[in-house]
Amino acid sequence: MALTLVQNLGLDDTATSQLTATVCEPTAAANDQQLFMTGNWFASSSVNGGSNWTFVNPFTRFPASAGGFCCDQIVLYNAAHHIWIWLLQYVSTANGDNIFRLAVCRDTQFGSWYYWDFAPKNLNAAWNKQMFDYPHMAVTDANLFVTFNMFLGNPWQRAVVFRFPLATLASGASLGYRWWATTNNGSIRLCRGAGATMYMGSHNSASQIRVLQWPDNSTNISWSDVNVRPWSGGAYSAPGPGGVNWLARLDSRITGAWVSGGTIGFMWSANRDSSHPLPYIRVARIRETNKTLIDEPDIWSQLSAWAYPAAAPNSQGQVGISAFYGGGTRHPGHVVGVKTATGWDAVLTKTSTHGPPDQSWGDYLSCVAHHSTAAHWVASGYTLQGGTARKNIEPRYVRFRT
Amino acid sequence: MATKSKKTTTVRTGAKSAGKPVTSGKARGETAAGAPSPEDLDIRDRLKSGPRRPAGPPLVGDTFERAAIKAIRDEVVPKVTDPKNRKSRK
Repeated sequence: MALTLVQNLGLDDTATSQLTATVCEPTAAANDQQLFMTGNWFASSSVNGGSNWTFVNPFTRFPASAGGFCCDQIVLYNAAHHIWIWLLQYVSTANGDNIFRLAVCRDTQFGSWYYWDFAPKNLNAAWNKQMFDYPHMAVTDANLFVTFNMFLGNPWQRAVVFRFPLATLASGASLGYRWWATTNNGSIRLCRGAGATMYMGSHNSASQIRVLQWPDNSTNISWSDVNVRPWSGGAYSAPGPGGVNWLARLDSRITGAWVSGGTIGFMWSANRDSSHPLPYIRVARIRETNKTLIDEPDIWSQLSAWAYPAAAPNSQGQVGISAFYGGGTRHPGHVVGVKTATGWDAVLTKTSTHGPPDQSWGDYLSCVAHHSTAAHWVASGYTLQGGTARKNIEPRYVRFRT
Repeated sequence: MATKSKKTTTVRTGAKSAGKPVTSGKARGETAAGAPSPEDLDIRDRLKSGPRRPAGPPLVGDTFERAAIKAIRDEVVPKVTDPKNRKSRK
């Protein structure tokens, strides 16, 4: 199964205004000619399919709130309602609380955003010193789901899941929503490709995943626990040229999740062990019907580490990924790939010319199905090009297909 | 290789309202929302170095030794995946 890069575009300084960071956390989405990409600390849009990009400043695009725009962002395009959805995380105030902003615009008015703000104290008055961090965002047929971790200063407090009706987001009417929080699981990851039920995953332990589900037609959330083969966490290391360890920030949280054709999949970065000489991507595929484990087609290499996977099914049900690959003789590179009958096919979109001197990389990538071209995915990535400064970070928009 | 899952647990979610959205105009300029200087961003960038803070309860069994022993005993290692060099249309 050959894999083709339909578009493989590096965003230049004009597109990012050099508001780039070593921990870039890029996300990308597309609606035919309209493209939007976010990352630390830029946003950029195109109205001609990526031929030209226009910098959008997330610090100044919206009125000030909390401690100002911080960092984490996610963008999605929802074709069913013809809307763009842009999530921005804000810095905490002196009191310790922050907000996230959920901005929406219609594709007929691309760039004319309206927005809602959400603070922890909106959910519970006692959480007035807590902050949201590490968002994820995905859709079902009828709803937008958003997950966050919440912290009190530095210590983790809980994970929270929001459910917003897409129709209301599109209409701009008064927004009623549902939410749920747990202190049992962190960094809850939402599945791409969901239909009438959103599936989510989080580790219970280094040998068990909690699979949560929230149907569109229910006000209840439920979960099952699924045992998987034990894996290693701890301090990750994959030194590249010059001994630069680009994985010093890496941890084991689930970063890739999808549902397609009766299979739920989860991906995360596992540490080296006796069978894997370098960090690698653990994969667990679970039956949607009875939550039993199908198989664990991990992605690993003898030569370089794999890390930070994002995943999504395309509309034909094939699973695509976006991830990083590096260490050994190779600086970190960005890779897209696809599940095959026997394993994974993957292609490097770009390899860094340098390693990150502060050993920081990540923390997430995006991979989504292209809404109208059945076999295509849209993915984000980044590399260091020509130096080690944060201005040398080159975000990457990739559209690929089998 | 099916592993039996535990029974399903169900809980109720809560409801809230965020009201009507705020309609945003074009760029508001620095009086509305200021942008940090390049030097401030350099500092923010360096603050990201080092391990991330824990983002969930401690995971039981998250140690090298236990998992390594299990891996030796149980694992059928799939074939390696190494990416090919890119072949772009554009």
